[in-house]
Amino acid sequence: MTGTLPQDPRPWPTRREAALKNATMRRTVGEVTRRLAEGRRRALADYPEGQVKLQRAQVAKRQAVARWQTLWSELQAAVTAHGGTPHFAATAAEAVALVRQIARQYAVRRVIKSKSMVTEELELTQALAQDGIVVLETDLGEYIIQLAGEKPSHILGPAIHRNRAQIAELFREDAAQHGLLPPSSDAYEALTEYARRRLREEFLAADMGITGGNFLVAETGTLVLITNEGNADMTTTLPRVLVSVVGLEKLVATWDDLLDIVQQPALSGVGRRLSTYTTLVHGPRGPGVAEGPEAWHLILLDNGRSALHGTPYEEVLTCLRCAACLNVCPVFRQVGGHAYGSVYSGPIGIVETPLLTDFRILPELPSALCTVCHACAEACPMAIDLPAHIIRLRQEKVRRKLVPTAHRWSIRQWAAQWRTPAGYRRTIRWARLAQRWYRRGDRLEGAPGMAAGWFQSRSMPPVASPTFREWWAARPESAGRALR
Amino acid sequence: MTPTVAEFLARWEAAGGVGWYVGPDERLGDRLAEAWQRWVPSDEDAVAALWLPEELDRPERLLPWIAAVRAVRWEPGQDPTAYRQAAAAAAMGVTGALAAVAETGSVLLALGPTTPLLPSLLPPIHVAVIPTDRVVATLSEAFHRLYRAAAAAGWPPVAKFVTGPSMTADIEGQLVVGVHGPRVAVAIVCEEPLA
Repeated sequence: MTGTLPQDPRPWPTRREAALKNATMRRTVGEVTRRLAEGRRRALADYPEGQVKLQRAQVAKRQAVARWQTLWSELQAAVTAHGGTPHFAATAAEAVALVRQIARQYAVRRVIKSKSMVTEELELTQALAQDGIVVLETDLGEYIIQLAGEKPSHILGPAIHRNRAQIAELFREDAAQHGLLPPSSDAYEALTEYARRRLREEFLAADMGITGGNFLVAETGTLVLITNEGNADMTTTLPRVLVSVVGLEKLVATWDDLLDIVQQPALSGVGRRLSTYTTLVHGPRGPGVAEGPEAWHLILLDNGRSALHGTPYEEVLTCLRCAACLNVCPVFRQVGGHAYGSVYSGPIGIVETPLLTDFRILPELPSALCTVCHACAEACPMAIDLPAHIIRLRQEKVRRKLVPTAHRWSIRQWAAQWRTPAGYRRTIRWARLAQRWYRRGDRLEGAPGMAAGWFQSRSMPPVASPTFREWWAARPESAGRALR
Repeated sequence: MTPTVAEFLARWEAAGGVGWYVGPDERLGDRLAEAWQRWVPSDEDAVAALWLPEELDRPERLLPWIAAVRAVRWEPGQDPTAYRQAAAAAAMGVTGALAAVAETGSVLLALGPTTPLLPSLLPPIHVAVIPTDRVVATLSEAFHRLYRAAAAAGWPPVAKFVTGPSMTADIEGQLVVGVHGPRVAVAIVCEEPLA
């Protein structure tokens, strides 16, 4: 079944212009992505064992994605045995309804969330707010964008498009609203200290915690969360109810598979052998235990994922959300995450957004935001062939007539001409005739129709008279033979 | 000190933590007192949240520190809310660990009736005390240790590998240590004392 994802209603040209004019965002995104990509390169060079584990992990993940239904049965049994309650949600709407129902069942008033892309996919915070429930993001970056009313701009650094002066302003407003002392300065430490102080009381007061998940181990019924701040540990141990919403692609079969894969998000994402917290959740607390939830509900989400089963795109589901492809993408480095208009940005977002929604939203992504430079394919730890998928999606768009008619017609005419050498030479002669209207000095500065866009920021040398081919054929030694 | 212990301490420090070694002729209590003096602001009411494995939890090992501070402990049957408030107010948390991993510089903690995780999370300073025989070379050894313990006694509701202090790079990509969890993370590898 087709999934649904939220989307930015602004058209692509508007999103693109907004991104290119945001100097703060572009500087920060450029710096952060370069640093993360460099950290990854160094960590991998220094850790050959990581490569060995990775090769096994790629196989394990592909197998797990292919037989997710069997693994889900196993996982349900293990989670139930630990006292947890598993649920399945075929669509985003079903998952949201389940969470709302659980919140009602336990009379929940206050919710704390640790960072999760899946809950962004569901727009869960907004749905719970409609029931009068206060939902607070607790990852520092997510908290910042919640205050700003924005969406994440990077999988790992949701607020990297904002500078600290802007963040200090948001925190000062927040402090005034809650009668708290504002941050003592605009320094990084002072801003972080404010978030610690502000959210600490919320952690202790919340009734329900909501997490996503990095992995689910079918054999042992383990939910794995990988974080650096400590907020996911608060979320999983302090509130009386814990709800974890996890995409079905996060399943892995065995404890040994987990061992091969558990370091990969940290290695590829931030260049560490493990992130600060690798948290393994198995179920609610037993008797006599000081902490941990009294009830744990695990929701496995489909939302368009299982439709990729058995298609050439199936391997896309092995993505670990490490963001390595974002960090090396020359387009992402220029425009940042918001320009994509989807929860999932960067090369993986280009591929997943149309696939999960069956092209219902943002069909421009595969065409407009990729130069097919292949940097993402080199960076992907799971060896997902992102450029090949992007090209396949472009072909799919043409088949489905998602490309403007004039555009398709122009390309078809062009292809028809260049099918033969004679056709090629003919178009060059036409170009030489037509170029006099677009020639400025010794450069060509424009073209008619679809080609005009290319010249908005570029120029090129005009067609020569004679061209090299004409000159070659006219030489006495060539005896009239054309260059093939 | 074995090479495995040395590698663990070096990797723990590379992850932003503080790594100490207590030899067979040294007293754990001296190093705890040193940590207390160095990182806890002087305050007469300062409290520590504490649990240690049985072999370490003896006054003769913990003196002089244990005589100078008030330590909050979790007793099964106690009110969890009161314990949580006490742990949140503590100036320092001291815990044992199931294992320490040299390959990654991590400490493995598992929640159980006598081993709460809150002292490792809520106070601004966490000291993990690891007996030498619990330091393993590879992550897979620690994983297998947890798996075997679970096969014998059931899975802990929550277990975690901690690798250094709590940190973030969410503001302009700049690294800041100490967000929601501890700002100072100390690992003390502790040798069996001489008889």
